[in-house]
Amino acid sequence: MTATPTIDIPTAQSADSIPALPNAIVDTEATQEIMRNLRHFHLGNPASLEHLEGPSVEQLPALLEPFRDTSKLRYDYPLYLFPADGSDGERPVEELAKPFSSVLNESVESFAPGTDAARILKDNLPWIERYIRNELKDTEGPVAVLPLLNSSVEALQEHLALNKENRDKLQQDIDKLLDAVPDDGQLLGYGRYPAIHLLIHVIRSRVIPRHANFGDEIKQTILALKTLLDVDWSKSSESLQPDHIRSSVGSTSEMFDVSKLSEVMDHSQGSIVMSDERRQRINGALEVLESYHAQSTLVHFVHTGALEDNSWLEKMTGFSASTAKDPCARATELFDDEASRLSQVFAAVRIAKLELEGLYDSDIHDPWFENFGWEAFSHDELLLVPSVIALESADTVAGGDMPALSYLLSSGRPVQVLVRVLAHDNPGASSKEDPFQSYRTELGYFGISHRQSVVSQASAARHQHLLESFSTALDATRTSLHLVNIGLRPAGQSVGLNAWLVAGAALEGRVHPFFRINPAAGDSFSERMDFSGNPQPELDWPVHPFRYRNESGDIVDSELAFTFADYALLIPRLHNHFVQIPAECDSDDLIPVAEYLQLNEESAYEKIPFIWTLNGHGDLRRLVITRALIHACRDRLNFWRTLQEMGGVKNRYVELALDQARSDIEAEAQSEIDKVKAEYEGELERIRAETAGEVMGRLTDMLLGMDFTSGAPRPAPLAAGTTTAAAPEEKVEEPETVAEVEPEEEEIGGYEEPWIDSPLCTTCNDCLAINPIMFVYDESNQAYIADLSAGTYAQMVEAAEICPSKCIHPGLPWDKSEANLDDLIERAAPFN
Amino acid sequence: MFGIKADWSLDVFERYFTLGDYSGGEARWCPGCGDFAVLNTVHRVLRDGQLPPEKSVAVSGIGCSSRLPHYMGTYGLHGLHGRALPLANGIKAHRPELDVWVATGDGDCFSIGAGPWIHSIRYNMDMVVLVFDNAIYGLTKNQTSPTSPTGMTTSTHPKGAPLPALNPLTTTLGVTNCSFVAQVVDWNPPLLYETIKAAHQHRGTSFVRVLQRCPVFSESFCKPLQENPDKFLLLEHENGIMLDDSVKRVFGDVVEHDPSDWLGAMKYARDEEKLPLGLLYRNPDAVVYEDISARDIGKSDEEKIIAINKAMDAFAI
Repeated sequence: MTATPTIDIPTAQSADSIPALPNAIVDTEATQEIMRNLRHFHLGNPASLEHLEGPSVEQLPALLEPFRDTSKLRYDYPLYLFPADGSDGERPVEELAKPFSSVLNESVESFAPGTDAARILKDNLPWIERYIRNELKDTEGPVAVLPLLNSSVEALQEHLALNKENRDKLQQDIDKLLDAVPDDGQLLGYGRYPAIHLLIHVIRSRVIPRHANFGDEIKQTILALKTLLDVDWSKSSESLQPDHIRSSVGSTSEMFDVSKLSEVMDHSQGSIVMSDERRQRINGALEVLESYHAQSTLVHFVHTGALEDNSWLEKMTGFSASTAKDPCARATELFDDEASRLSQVFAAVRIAKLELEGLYDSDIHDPWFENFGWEAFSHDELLLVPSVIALESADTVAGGDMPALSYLLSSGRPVQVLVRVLAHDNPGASSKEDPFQSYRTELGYFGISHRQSVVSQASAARHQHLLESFSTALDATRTSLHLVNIGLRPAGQSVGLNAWLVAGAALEGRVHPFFRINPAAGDSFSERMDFSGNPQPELDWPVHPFRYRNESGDIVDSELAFTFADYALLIPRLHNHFVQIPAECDSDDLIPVAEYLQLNEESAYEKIPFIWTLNGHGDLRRLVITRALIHACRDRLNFWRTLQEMGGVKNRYVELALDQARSDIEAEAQSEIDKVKAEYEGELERIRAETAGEVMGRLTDMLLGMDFTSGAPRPAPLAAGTTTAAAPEEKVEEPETVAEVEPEEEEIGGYEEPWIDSPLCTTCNDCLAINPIMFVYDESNQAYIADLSAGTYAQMVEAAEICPSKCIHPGLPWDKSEANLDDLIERAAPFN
Repeated sequence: MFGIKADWSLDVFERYFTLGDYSGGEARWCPGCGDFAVLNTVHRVLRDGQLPPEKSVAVSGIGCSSRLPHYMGTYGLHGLHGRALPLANGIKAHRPELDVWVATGDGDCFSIGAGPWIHSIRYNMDMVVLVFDNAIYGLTKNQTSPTSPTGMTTSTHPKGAPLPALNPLTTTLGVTNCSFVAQVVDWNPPLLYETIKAAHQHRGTSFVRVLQRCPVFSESFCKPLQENPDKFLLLEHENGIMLDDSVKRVFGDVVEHDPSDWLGAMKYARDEEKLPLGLLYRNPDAVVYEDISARDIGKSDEEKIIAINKAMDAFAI
């Protein structure tokens, strides 16, 4: 029979898809020649390529084989971006964005829990998901969710072409879905710049509420300052002039003589008035605050002008994009401009507060405000400065832009530097060089050397981790360096791997490991370093189960490591580092890369490393790699181990200390054991000597006294005073008579809701024959109660009695006016 | 691995079928008949597997149960008495890609169809065989069937059936190359669903005996069973069918039974006191006859003639 489609876990391989080793006969003679060529290739002799074959365009690392066609793969994108709300901008990252597939599932589950409810819609959510993903394929940046969702459900209806009944049923569920999905959010596909869009989203989510709060604060301050000035002015003689009194009193002023009133008013009350200097200062602050308008630009974005797609830049709101040859230097200027503009506003707010509290001291505060700049901004003030993002590429910051980056990182300006990283590449190498020619320039390590900057290495393929990094950086209000890998689609390959999966593979192969340094978290490295997000962080390379068929067709369960060399196969530019091992060749000198890297140099010298791959037709193939690639693996492994140590996963100092402590304890314990043993042996010897005769004597007595006929030792005589008589039975006291408590009489006419245990319904139609409105079938054709008001309790009881699977529980009557209720309740009792 | 979650496979239905797509009109059996439950379960299994209706065939013989093809929105064949299985085997032999469901009864299969039953089990062609066993000839109004229990009053035996009932489970298990034997009751839809689904997933002839209520003629057969779940022993195994707690609560007695254990299956099948429910036996490695009979089925007429001539030439002198 055709197997029902099942959802496999990623590591699972169905019987049909189990890769197989080619059933080739090993040719010993040919193997020698092939091994010689493979060894030459490994060592870098180009002449060996004449006899060997490179990897095919379809070849993939074996562990990636199940996901060859990513059009059938559910991944985290499109993301649903939650809108900025009216809170304080401190939303947790998990409330900033979520995979849209989860939002869809949760939304449907919210109004249709269970397997069978809204069945058609639930079964077709993947269709909607795929439709939306395809629609977003050529769209860069976030788009409104509702129009897209609307068009997807319309297309679904058209695609399914159901009959009217099912179409209406589906439409009802679609309407509920449209109500359940928060409609003011946006969707973000995995385009070219997902990391930039996510950073802008985090900034907007935080800044918009903060700006609104700040606007309110300014309004209140203006009001308070005006009140202060009004109070002062009311002390002046001018305020007592008849004209002013007339205008103050308003329309009733004609009812009395304002001149007379002015004469009788106390002209002496304004003797202590505000100094001109203070008034001017307050007026100055007031002027600045009144001229403040909430900034329309929330984000400044500086790039080199080399974006492949500029279209999204114009669509962004609250956003200003500019180009510069050196984005870091330009970002520094932009931040200074913004900070300088806002410093007047922040100074005015501070002056206003001091004045309102009467704490302004010219001697102290005048010089302070004279030099008030961004360095003096509070944390909250810094969070109000429009964010500046400098977009760089790894090559340029490792080259000509490095001084400007270094200056910026040391300056403390809270600018976000976003560096796009090609995980396989060496940013320190020239474009003409092989990336493995020199040790890799690790920009993350370069960033860490600046000590007071936030440094994160992350990937757009792990949005949650990336959002955490962005939030941490923005909250830290320090210069932040984000090294982000978005992956790339392997160009020129016929496989459908997408950039998201390639970025995931970079994380898996320790090509682009995650870490985050936040100097604001403390002074020790353990406080500053976050090492989360790396798979199997305690190992050199992540290891996964792998199942294949051997040459005999038997299924073999094994484990494979995913290394940097496996990742390198995804990069066509690096294919010259691989050659096929012909099927007829086998040798103990061929070993997997992960094993090879465990060997010391001497042992490794004799071996040739290879990786396991699949050719797209289910055939397992091995590829030998070059020594240059092995060196690159070692280089990456070295950085990984450094990070492990920094992240506290493996710490050599601790390991050494533990070894030392362990050996100390063992030595101490051994010495104690030896001592006790010596004492014990001495004592034992002494006792043995003293008691040997006595023991022998007792043994003789015992043997002589045994009854060998019974097969059991004779019972020892009872000790004096012991009795075998059973203890007298304890008198069982009669329980005290307890006054019988009258059970509370059940309330007659109470209500208990009737229900049907639908999974047990056998679809016999009997209840529907009694009342087809009260009883209806669900999407599995099993009955439930749809409308109690459409039927009587008598019908419910009759249905319960007739139901062959006894799954109707009639409860108690809901309409107390129905006839013969006592009788019906009695009949219903066995079914409740 | 690689950030891929457990629900990674984006299974999109290019064609989508609802329960109605598998339904062939209003089913007409007597009120309270157990056949409704079996029919709805078959619909659900097809719907959940999203199997194209035009790729499925329901085949039956004669009897109440054999009305099933009429209520299916698939292809169907209502055949002769006792001949559901030969027809199904014929369909499978020529169209092995079709999904074949056989509906037969205790009279249709175990009496007049006993010969085809034995050989079909041995042929082990890939199909589900549902035997609606109500221990009576219902359609022809109350005659003794091979599974009528001793003493059951029928129109052919007004003083009670004189012989012990045939045990279809042991008989089926005893046939060479048997590959799947299960027993269920119609009044527990969750168990019915899981068993029929397992039968459908099995490649080979999946023999499922459904103890089925006939409230008109054989109430004495099923009612005591329905009212005494203690009469049953539920079989469960991680290699067989894992059952929901709700099912276990109904029947109470549950035992671990590995369906690859033929001797164990025979032991449970023979037990008259505790009737086994669930999967008794499964052998995924049994020979499937269409693997042999359907060889070269796509050959053109010319190719066939060449092949025949070649075969004949072997006898040329």
